[in-house]
Amino acid sequence: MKKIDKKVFERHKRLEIDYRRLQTRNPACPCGERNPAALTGIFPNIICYECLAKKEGRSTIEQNHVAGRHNNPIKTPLPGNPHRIITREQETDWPTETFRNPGKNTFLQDAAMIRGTLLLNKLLKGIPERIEWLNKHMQEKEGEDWWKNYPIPK
Amino acid sequence: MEELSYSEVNSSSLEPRPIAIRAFAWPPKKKFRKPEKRWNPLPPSNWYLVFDSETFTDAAQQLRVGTYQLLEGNMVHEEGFFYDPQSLTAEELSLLESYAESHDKTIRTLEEFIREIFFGVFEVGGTFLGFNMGFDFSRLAASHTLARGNMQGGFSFIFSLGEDSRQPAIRVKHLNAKASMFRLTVRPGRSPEKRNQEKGVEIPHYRGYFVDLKSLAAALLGRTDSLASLTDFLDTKHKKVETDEHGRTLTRQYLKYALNDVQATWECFEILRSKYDNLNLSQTLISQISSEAGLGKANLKEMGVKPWRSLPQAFSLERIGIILGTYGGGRSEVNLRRTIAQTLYCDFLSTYPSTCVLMGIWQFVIAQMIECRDDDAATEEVRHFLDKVSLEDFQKPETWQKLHAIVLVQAEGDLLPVRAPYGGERTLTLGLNYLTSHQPLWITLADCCEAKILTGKTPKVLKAIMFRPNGRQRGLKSILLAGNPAYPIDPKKDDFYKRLIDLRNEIKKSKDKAEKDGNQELAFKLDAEQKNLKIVANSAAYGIFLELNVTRYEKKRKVICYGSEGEGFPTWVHNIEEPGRYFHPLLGTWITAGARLLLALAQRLCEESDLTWIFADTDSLAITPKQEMTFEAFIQKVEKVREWFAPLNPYSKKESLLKLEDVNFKLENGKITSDLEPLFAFAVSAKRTALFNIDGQGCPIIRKASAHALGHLLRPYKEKEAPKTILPPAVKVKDKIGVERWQYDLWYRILEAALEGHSHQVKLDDLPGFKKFAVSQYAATTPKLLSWFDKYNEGKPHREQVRPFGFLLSFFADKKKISTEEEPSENTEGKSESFDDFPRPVAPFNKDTQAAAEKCFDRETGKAIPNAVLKTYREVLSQYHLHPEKKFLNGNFLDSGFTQHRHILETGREYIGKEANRWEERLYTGEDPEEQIHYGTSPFSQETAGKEILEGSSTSHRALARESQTSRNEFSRLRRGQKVKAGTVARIRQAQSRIAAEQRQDIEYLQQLLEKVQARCKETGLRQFSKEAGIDPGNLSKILHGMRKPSFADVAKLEKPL
Repeated sequence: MKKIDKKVFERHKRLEIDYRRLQTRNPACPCGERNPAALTGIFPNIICYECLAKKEGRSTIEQNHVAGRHNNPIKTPLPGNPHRIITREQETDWPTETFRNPGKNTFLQDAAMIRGTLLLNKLLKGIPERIEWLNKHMQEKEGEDWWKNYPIPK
Repeated sequence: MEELSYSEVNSSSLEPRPIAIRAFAWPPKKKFRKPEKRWNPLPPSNWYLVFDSETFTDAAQQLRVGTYQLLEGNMVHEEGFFYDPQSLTAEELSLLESYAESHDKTIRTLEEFIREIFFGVFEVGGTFLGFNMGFDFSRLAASHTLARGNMQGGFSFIFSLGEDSRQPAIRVKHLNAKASMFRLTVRPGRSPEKRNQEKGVEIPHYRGYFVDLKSLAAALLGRTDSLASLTDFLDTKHKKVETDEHGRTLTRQYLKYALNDVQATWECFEILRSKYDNLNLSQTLISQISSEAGLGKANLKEMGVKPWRSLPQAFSLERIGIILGTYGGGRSEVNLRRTIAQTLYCDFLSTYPSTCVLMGIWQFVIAQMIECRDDDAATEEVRHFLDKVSLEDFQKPETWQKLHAIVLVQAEGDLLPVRAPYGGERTLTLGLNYLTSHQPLWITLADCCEAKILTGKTPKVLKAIMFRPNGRQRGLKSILLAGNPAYPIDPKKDDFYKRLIDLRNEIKKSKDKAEKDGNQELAFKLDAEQKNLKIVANSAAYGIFLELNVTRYEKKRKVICYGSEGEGFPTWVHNIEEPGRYFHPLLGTWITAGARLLLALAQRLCEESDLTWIFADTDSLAITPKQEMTFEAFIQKVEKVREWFAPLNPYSKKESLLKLEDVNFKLENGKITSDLEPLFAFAVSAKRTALFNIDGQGCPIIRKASAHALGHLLRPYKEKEAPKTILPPAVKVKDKIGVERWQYDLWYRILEAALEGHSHQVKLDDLPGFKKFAVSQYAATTPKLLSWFDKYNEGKPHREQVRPFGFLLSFFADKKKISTEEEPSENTEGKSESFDDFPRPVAPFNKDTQAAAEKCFDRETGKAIPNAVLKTYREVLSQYHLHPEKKFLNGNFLDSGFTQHRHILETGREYIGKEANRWEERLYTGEDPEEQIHYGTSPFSQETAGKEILEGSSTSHRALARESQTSRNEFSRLRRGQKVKAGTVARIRQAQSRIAAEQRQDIEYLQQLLEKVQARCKETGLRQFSKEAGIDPGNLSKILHGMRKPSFADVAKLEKPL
């Protein structure tokens, strides 16, 4: 029998820290967000970062360092919750030396950029399929050029 | 001896004796009120680590190889072995590797296992599963220290982690034979809990999740099991296999055995978990259930019942002291000693829950506050009630609702439960005896009624405090009892205890039906369910109200002791009592008093029906005819007594509260029929009793026997080696009779001798293994027990030391043999050797116990003990059948017939606490006076105490000062009537009673010796005996006629031929 995959264990360890922080194993924000990485507070007063930002009158959009702040200053705007989920992945799934890169190693910087882009891609995974499905559905319902009837911004 | 009526006995001679009273002690400045915690613990994740360790069988029991399963839900992520590289040979390691490879198992070194898996499971919030996990943690640990804080009295295990030393230690505290408490220490560095705490949220630290199946099974099934018997009972797919290969060279078979153990443990857990889930106790985690009381508490928590301590109107500490002073446990007594008599054995239906229902205890449990009335009107009301109340009144349930009071009485020869060191024993025992006291005493109203019912004499009431529930707690919610939708309980309307017993009766009925229909599987399931309800009912009806957890500190700590005087005084103790969650002394003391009253009513009714009783134990009574009568007449009379209790039955199923036990009914092919059969009882002393039928040849057929004071001994022989001359048991010896086979054989021989008319001479010669050294096996579960091996461990590396939870062997030294082996010597403190200075032999564990005897040493001094002074089983048990019932008169070794109540004249009052929760330790190793918490006497009575002590003492002051370890200075202060330290008076009193007890013991011994000499002289003649003893016949005659006091030399001479 193979030894347990350390990564599986590490992921669960990280999740456990979140549960202990939130003091529940079924955390959820009233808005429906359930990913512990995007949640804050202590049970039963749990709220996601986006709702918290709205409540405090801040913008829900944050700037994400694609390759991590130590590697590259390039940033992309992201809603608060996915930003935290992505940051969690960077922290737990990336090799520490790549994420932290204290020596500013250019190879590691490149690796981090690719990892960051893939992570964003991962976040967008499924969205093109969903848009295509929606277009097909609307075409069936309202005709081939259905989109011309709506003031959709370009 | 003839049985005397209560009034006759009352006039018997007074015995001056100190009595002991329970008190409540609380550390100064510590708040007693404990508000409810706001946070429910985070439940564990669905990760589990099941593990077990296999060790060498030498003294150190060092780990060799361990097995484990790492699971997420039911999915096994990893299964395999971990091993200690230093414990395996190269061949064994290669065998382990090849076995692991061929069976697709993982293999890790111990260090790797600890680092990757062990602490990994903690970090994913997983649960640790094992059977007797304290032992396993100790094997895996690299070192240990003594635990501190709330785990004081336990051990802290530190694990070897190589470079990573940031992991926490595991602390284990042994609570009792069935339960231990496990906790992680707080991990260094930051944690989510610490961050939350910094934000001001009171979140407890993460302490890990542990489930010890031994404790869980005991709590859920109410039975103490080994893994083997548990797998049998639960009928798991994989059963625990027995092996003789422990400690030998590893084999493939042994590795298979080790893997099987872990699988069997997991399967047991799965079944127990589903049983627990069925109970629907969402507020309590399964890892929090470590005892039967835990189930009771979980049910109350589920209903939203708040602990009394958390309510704003809890009593003052002074009042708690008074209330706790009225506490006495269950009665366990022998009335007809060492005499075979026909009996019908009865017991009360769910005594404690029934008492709760009768007394309306539930209303107090859910009350928002309890009102006290201690004015003159309350006293008058109680006096009036006591004057008017009669036996018939207790047949009406409403009378029981009037017992909500405690009373201050002036005891003037009243029959009351008296706790005292009877017969020179240092252990305090509770006996129903006549008491005369110059100082008033607080007792429960039920105890007052008991005295009146039994003697007709009403105790003189000086004051009374009446209690009444007021209001109802908020937030009470309905639950489904045992998860059964047909049994909802609304705590606001229903009586929890009544509903519990009703449901149990219903399940029992369904079980009987299933049995009749031949559906054994369903019957088995229902039986387990009804037993579980019984456990819940008993724990919720009594145990939880008097839960006091004792923590032993190395250094004495200051506490304020609140006794029956009502005022607190400071004292210093090693053992501190911490009340449990639902601690409520008022209810605890009422319930036990109510149960004693039920028993007293039954006794009185027996007396009125020309019946008497042989023995009683808390809720059971072995009834016997006073005079000769036919079996049918006897049954009729007992039925009359039983019928009397029918109106008191509060449950839906209408039957008498006093029921006939199964042992009364005839056995056919090992099954109980509905026909009554003549049953006989033989009672030696409290809890040493046997019930049996007699066959055509006059041989006993044992139906029930007690393993009291036998259970600690290792079996001297296996079941298959039992002598052929003893009739094999008619039913399952362990399950139905309640003893092991060798214990059954011992009882058989005792009963055989009694039936043949020589009850004092029991033939033990042919019992195999009785010539071996008697030995007890126990685990080093507390720092104190482990400290006996300090000298043995000195200089040894950790892996070779005797470690916590390792097994130890305890032997028994013979006083007589020691005196012939070596002359008594003066010890270093110049104190002559007393009984206590006799060696207490212990030995490191060895599978071959007789070989272990070779390495015996004194646990106090570390001095080697020769085999010649060790007692054999035969010697240890030679007087089992003569054990005295010292709390009563006519209860001495050779006495038989009816015992009589003593009449105690109280000479002093000592406040005590609960004895530490280590009764089994006390049993194995002999009584340890330190285990009983002594708070001393109150300084309020000290002024007179000094005078009393010095005037009343027959011992020289110098001897008294030496025995009590009191300085001459303090002694002279006492003589001058000046104030001395609180503990001094208590110490002197204890010393005084010790000396008196020793003197009494000597006198008793001498009496017995002379009886034996007299008997022998009758057989062989006085001249012949004096020749054998080497004593002048004239002197012997004078000694026997009481005209001359025998010298020590004379006693030694007289002992010689005997």
